[in-house]
Amino acid sequence: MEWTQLLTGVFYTIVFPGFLFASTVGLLLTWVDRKVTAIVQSRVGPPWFQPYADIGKLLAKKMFIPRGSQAIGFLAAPLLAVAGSTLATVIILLALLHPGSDFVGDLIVLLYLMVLPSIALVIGGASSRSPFGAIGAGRELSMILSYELTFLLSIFTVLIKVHSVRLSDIVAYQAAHGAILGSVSGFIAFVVAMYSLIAKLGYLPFDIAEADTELIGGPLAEYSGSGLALFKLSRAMMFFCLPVLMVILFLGATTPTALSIAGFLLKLLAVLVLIIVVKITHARLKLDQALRLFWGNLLLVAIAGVILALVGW
Amino acid sequence: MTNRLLNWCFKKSIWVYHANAGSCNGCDIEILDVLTPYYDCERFGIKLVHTPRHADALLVTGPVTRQVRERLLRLYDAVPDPKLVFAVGSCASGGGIWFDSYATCGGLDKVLPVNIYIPGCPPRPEAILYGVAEALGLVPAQVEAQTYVEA
Amino acid sequence: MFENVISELKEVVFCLRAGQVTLGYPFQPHPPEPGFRGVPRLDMQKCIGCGACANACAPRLITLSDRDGYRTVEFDLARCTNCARCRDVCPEEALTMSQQFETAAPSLRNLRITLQLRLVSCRECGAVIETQRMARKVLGKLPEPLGLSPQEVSWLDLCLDCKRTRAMAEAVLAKEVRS
Repeated sequence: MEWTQLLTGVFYTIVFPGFLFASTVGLLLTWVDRKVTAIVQSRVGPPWFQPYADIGKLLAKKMFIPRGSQAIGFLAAPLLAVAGSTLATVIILLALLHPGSDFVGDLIVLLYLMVLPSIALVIGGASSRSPFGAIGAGRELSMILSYELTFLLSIFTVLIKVHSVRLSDIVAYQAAHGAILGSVSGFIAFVVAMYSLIAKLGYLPFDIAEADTELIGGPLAEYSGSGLALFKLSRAMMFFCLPVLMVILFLGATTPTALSIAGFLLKLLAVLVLIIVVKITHARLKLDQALRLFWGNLLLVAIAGVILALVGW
Repeated sequence: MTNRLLNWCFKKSIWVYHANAGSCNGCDIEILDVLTPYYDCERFGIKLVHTPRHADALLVTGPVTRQVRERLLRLYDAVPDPKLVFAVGSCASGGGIWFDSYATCGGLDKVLPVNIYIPGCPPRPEAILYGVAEALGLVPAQVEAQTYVEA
Repeated sequence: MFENVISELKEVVFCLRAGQVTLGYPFQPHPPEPGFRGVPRLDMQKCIGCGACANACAPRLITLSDRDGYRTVEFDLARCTNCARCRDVCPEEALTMSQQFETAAPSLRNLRITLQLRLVSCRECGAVIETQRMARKVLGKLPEPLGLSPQEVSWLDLCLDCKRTRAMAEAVLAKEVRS
């Protein structure tokens, strides 16, 4: 193993499209979220450095490990969440910036890595000796089992059209044939994917696991200090990498030139504003309502999208 | 240098947890008012959290009744350091009208170490914001002890 | 399935019409409405130490104590409920409810008002009669040619019990002289 390869790998993971870059941009996007929320609610929002001050303050607080909790699971869960989201962001951004560095099946690896933050929430909630954590972990598991299926089905639609499981092939297909959103099955898959995305990010109306006013934070109830900071960082990184994946899969992205970067940012902003506006205007669904939605109507719509893609529309 | 940076972070981002220790809810409604768009405390980084483990500051209202006293002590232990305690309202500051009642402990300072007292019945939302800013060292105290001895 | 999604997204358009309603509070003052009752303010020159406010105060935060020739009037404003009963009963209008409401303080000492007034004691037995300001006010209310005998004028600095004793003695003596 060459030293330069190792060092560039470490650089990619920790500095450039990796941990530092992804957390900085992710925290800035959470500021965009809070500012748009504030504008719709007719008030001034927080200043731009607010998420950084929040993380800095959390790192300065003392962290409690509840007595009687499973300490290994409790402490490993935030690290698992950060690891999953960092690696997912590295793979996606490298596929955009270095078109030769992806590999066959990287989309599949990406899907596995993006489940890790949710699993980490379940592990953290279950190992903190708290009834809120236990209930939150159970609810999060039920949600994972429902939204992952519709997410996979909408990605199948894209794969059927592109005939390949490589991110750079998806990018090349859309450069040649126009955005996948333009076709009927693509539009259906986009709508289903947006529902699953909002559930994956844990935003209203699907923030059932971490219901603030019912479960006082759910799995995060017993975390404080650095553990909470790492969970919030992984959440910010997912808020960056999942909409980027949406833009790559459905709205079309090309190799970086000045014009295409501006177009990419506009599309990313459009996806973000859609997520934020849905978050502001909806109330939280109950668990059985959400499960009925994902396993009922949405599943039928997703299957319809797959069939339409197979037919050629 | 990191000390100064972390102090700045603490001043810019305070997460409060609201605990009602037997209050009539007047002060609770005024605390709710601070969280509305009219007075918008999110500009200053103040956010309401629902578990004491995420909190930096405790906003306690009400003269501490006998039943709530033990739970209030457990809440205080659950907040991680560094923390601030605000006594909001006349009842928490000095016991209010119930200062010598058999059912209360007569004010928050008999139970917890208090950083800032915010008197008022109920204190206006601006007064609560002023008290939080004073605890962070951003504004000076406007009231002072007044003494006069006739010559 | 999608109808209420569309209608809720239309809400955003309605909300945006309101603009921004946040007050500029900490950066601009926000004065309260005209009848607002803030903390009570004591005019130290007008108070005569009568104790009417201490009688009327709802949380009983006003205390009067006499010691060493001084009457100490103490206000502990931490538990003031701004009810203004003290202002309503003050005979000298020394108490006013100011418009100040930003009264947060790091220690309860900041919220105390202490006033010490000189006392008038009985010439004969030394008991406390009233404060000097009260005596001056009473003397100021007496009509200009006092309809009192010189002996009665000399009783003005006696306490009530001593006055009664003197008056009884005078009455008994007058009866004996007549009889």
